Amino acid sequence: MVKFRDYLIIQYKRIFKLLPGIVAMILVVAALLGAAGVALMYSDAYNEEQQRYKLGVVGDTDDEMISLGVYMIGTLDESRYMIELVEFDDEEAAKDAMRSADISAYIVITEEFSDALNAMTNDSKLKYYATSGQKGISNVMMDEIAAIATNIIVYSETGICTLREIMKQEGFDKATRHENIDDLFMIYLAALMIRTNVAEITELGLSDGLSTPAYYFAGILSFFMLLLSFCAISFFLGQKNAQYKFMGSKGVTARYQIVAEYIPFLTINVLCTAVTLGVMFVVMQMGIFDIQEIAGNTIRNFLNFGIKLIPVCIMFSALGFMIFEILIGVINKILVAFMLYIGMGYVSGYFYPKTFFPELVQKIGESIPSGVAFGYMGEVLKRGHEEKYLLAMLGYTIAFLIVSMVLRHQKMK
Amino acid sequence: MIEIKNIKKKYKRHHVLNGVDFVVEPGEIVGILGENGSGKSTLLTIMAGLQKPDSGFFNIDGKDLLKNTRIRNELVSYVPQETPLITELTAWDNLRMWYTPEKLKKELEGGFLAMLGIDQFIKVPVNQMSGGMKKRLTIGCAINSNPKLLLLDEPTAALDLVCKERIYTYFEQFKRQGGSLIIATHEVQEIELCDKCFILKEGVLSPYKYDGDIPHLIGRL
Repeated sequence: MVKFRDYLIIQYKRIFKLLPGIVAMILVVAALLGAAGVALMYSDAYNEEQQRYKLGVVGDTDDEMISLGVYMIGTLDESRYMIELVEFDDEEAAKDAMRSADISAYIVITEEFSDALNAMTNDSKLKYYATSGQKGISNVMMDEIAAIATNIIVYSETGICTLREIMKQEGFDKATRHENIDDLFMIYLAALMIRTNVAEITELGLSDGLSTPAYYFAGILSFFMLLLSFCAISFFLGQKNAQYKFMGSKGVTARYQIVAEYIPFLTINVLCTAVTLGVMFVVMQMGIFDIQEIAGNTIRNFLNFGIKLIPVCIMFSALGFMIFEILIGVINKILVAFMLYIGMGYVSGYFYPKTFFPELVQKIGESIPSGVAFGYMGEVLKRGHEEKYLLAMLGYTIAFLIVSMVLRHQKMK
Repeated sequence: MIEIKNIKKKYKRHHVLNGVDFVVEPGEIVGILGENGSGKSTLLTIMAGLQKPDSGFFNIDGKDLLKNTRIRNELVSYVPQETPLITELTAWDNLRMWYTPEKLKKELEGGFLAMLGIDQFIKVPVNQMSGGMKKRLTIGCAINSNPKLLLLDEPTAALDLVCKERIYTYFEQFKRQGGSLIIATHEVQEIELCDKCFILKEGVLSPYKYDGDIPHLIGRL
């Protein structure tokens, strides 16, 4: 055990010698991720929670029923807090506005639609256009809004028009017809005005009830912690099989070697995470961004949060250790590790809400170490149940270290 | 006396060592010759405790070193072919791992480490050292426990003549003090240094008497 202690000390000396290089890499990664995070949080995706969606309306809105419907959506319905209707004279203007992201989508009210509406038939539909590409929150909302518009304009008003025609055919006088139709309109308007929750959104891709800033904060922080092991790659580059063999011949077995190398590696990762969190705290105090889940953003809450990140550090350090133990060669280590981390982060939803992935991919993303860490961080932020994630992380850590020990043993032969 | 008896080692179907036997007397240098891949390094790593043989014995003065790890670590030291040093650190840091500060100072002031000339580059980081310095430092680290047997895998490969000479001088000194050396080598100078040589071919170790006839040696390998 004396040699284990000495080997541990020497590994600490090694990593502190390499510290300037490691810190330089961490600064670069932190700056890049920080910039990405700020860009993400100040982007439309983040502001979607606060801003109104602009929906273009193209076509003839002079029709009595259509203008009433447009007026109701724009001014009376609860959706007015979320939707801003922008009228366009022609479709090309609407297309240009959508291409330049001035509007999120547009609806074309064709003459056939107006005619069909007045003829009380449902054989012509509204034409709804939205940008293609990734299906984000905007698109989900626009789908919902299109459905609302369809319901309000088409079904409700067609029903009222139909009733007016039936009353006419049945011989009701004009005054009675107007009185009843006006009553019906008033009920309809009242129903619209008391309507709340335009869309029932159970999950906007921002998993398990985290706010958007907290989601991206957790994602970016998890990715940063994953990359920490990559930043300390120099710690693994100087190691050679001859060294392992020599240590082994002196009684420092593979098991002791791995533990004595892992502890300093973990220490550096924990220290770097702590420093990064400190910088984040200062940035939050400056009001650049705010996470409501870290209530009050007090130093005590932040400290508690930081301490709870240690298990993530432990698992990611073990993962990094195992990966660098498996991979041979500098280029391999750098390329494969980076690609692997990006892939793991993506599948686990670090950069993009994972709910838009197929269910199987979602399950894989949640089960792999990056997903477990992300889930745990979410629970920490929500002050939820962390136990199952802690157990999973412990299991992963043990497995990674055991694999590293087996590989080291093989290298020593 | 060091005894190696019937050491066998098989990788899948390939018999790397097929019943290796030899004896090394105290103060003897033994050379193991053979082509690349003939199993020289495997034999040394088995004796160093890094691999287990499929069968066989390795005893020093009657003590079974294949079973007794602690005694083996004290009596046997192994110097691998490549540098096993921690390259970011100085010679002092590397040696400190194996020596107490007192013993290290003593050895540097006139002991084995001084004889190897390590005192001249004690503060130099390993990544700024020449190949010869690294090899001497490796030997310095290996002999911390005053071993009875030193196992060396191509110890002077790619070193300059001055450095080789310094290392050979140390070998002679180690031998005079009763230590034994087993050297896996391709170097003629090292073969000449050996008291007896063996050729390892197809897993079998055969005695060989080197008489300066290199073509004959090549023919035997």
